[in-house]
Amino acid sequence: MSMKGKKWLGFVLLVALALASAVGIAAADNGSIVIAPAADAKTLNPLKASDSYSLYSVYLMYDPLFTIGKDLKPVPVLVSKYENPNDRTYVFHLKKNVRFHDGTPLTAEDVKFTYDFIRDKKNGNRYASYYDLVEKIEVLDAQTVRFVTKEPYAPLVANLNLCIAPKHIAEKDPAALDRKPVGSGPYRFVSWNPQEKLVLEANPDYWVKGVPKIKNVTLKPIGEATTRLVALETGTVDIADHIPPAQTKALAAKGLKVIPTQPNGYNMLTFNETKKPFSDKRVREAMTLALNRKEIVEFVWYGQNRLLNSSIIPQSWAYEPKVKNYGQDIKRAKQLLAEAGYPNGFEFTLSLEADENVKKFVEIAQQQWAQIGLKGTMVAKEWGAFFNDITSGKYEVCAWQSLDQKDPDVPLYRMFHSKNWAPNGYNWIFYKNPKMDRTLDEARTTLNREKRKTLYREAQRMLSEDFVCIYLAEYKKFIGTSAKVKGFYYSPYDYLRPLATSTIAGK
Amino acid sequence: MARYILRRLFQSIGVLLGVTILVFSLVQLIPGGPALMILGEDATAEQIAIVNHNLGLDRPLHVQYLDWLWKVCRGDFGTSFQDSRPILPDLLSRMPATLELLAAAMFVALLVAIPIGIASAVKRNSLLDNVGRVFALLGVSMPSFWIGLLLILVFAKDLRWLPSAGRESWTGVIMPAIALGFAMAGILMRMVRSSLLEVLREDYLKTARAKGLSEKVVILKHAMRNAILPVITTIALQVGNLLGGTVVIETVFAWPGIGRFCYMRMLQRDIPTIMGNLMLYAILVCVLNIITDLLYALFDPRIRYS
Repeated sequence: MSMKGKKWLGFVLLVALALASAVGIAAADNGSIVIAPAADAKTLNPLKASDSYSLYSVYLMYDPLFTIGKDLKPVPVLVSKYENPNDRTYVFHLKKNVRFHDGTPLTAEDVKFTYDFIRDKKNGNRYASYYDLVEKIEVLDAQTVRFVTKEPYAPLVANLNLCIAPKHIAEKDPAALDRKPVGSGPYRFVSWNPQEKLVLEANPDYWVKGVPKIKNVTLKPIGEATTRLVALETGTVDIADHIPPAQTKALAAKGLKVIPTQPNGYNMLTFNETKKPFSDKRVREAMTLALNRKEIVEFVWYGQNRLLNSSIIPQSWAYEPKVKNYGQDIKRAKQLLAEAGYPNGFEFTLSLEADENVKKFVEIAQQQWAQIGLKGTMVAKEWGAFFNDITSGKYEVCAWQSLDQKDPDVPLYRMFHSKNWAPNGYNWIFYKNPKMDRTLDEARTTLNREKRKTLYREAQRMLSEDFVCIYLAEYKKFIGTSAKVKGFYYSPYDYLRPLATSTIAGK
Repeated sequence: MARYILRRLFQSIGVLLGVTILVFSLVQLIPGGPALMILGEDATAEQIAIVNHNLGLDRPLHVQYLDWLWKVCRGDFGTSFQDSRPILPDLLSRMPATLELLAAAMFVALLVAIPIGIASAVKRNSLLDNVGRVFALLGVSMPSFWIGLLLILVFAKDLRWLPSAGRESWTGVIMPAIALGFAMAGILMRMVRSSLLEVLREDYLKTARAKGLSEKVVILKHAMRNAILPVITTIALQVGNLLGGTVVIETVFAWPGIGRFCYMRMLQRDIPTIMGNLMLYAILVCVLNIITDLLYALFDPRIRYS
């Protein structure tokens, strides 16, 4: 062989070696699982975490008092039983033998500390306002804690789904938990390199016997959807977050599992009611009737997400099945516009987050509105900029995903009570209806669930009749897993926690 | 020489100051401040004011900037708004991954650009030249993230030769380096070609050939030595672009470098991380520019720094 030939052979061998080592990369070894979330945690501290990617990890390492079941009713986790001695008092009895990862028992002191910290506005926790009606939290004994509210507050139990932090560590320095989380949950912290990977290991002393089964958990965030999908397909990861709706069938055909999460919200288009002509109900009705919502939902979500007609999802005990399912009626829509003084339509801006799926349904709505002479101009921005516009009322019509249904009070009171007009609250639609205000006030201060149900049903009918939102598909996401992962599901209220009871076949 | 380097370093301080003032001002213009991002959907005006106060964002801008600058001068890059961790260690620990990607991309660019550029110039208007020019045009006009996604679909998904994401094995760098280096390869190739074409017309090459030197020696030794100078300038100018490109490519390939880290933090309006990253990148570009100027002297004996 000539010198040149030898050099070539060497090069070819080198390339072959590179490829061989690449093919050899496998995700999981014995009892380990690799998960690819769509983004990394912002913080691991349960006293600060509020976005779902942070909560992914927090709920693996910590325990909440309650979680939310599939029927959207609270399910006790750390609580063994609870009672209401009167309308303003809840007494919670904690489970015994629950210990933090450093061996310290979890007691009523930790519960009091956690919720006192969160509800103190100085600490800048997102959920502080959820506990505005809590007057005081008292420790009765190591296992018993009492919440006293200023007035009867029915959503309290559902809102006690945040994780309990160890007082003995966080009291001196709440930031200590940022770097070294010490929880009581099924997994213990090993290491975290932000944006790269978070490593957890099974807590052998977990208070639920035989849990968790999978020994090592690694979370490696992959932001780009294509990269994440390929990582799942090639076995680099075992679970991949956020599978685009268009890809679910293709993945299932390749022998991978695609698990739809429990729905926990809805996609909608809504109006700034302080802006003309959207303050006119006839205009909102015309815009609702101009759309073929069924077609939009079918097309954008590939028939995988159902069409909704209410701000409460059908899984909830408070759902009103009698809300109207508005179909397309172009003639009536045109007539309404003419009555409102816009026979030739008008121009408006359509604000949305720059997200492919959202853009898709806004585009179709835009085309359908054009049929009645309405010309919407899309303004798509990155989330932070978009959200800033919305909360400061700088929009006319916007696309929105409402994502919390843990108690009917959460999606309704925050968004549709006039007391919560932005910027002092979450009602950036600027909806105001005194009857709605009364109904929502009464529903949150009534502890009887049947009575609350009647009130919330009435509220949903009011929203539908006032044409406040144009409801589209329910919100749920799809999680892809390899066929080896058994028993896993994703819950919008305790995130990846079901991992604790999952197994990996053949490992 | 030493005095020259010192002078250049001194000048760089001015550049750094200018860049930090500019970016600090720009960051303030992004709608949706850090407090809104921390509090999320339930932010009320009252809570935003509290968080802004806690983060020191309610102070006048020049006070915030000078405070930041003073701390940086003492080596304190501050802590992240996001997770309260000190910024510098988090940035420095990601630096090797980014430098590795940068070097690999540069290697890919040079490996492609120099041979094709030379061949294109020497065999001007031949088929080879035309193919080379089309290639350069493609390189310049295709967005790097798109090349990245195509590579993932072919080499990770279909052929399964390379990992789609991460830096676990050394093969992980191959695709990001190609995606990132491709655009630079196009630009460099055109530079090598045009600069070599110009030199090839020079009389001294005729002399070289008349002396009976082989064509290989004439091109590679005599012509390239002069033709390479504008190429070095282009490389130096491209490093800045390449660093900017790492932000996108690191995101596509989940590469654990500084670019992706800061992109995520940018979305969260984490001002201290944005500023810290900027500082490191600016220092890197300044140092690389000085090195480039020194390289001139190495290639061109007429240039002396004294």
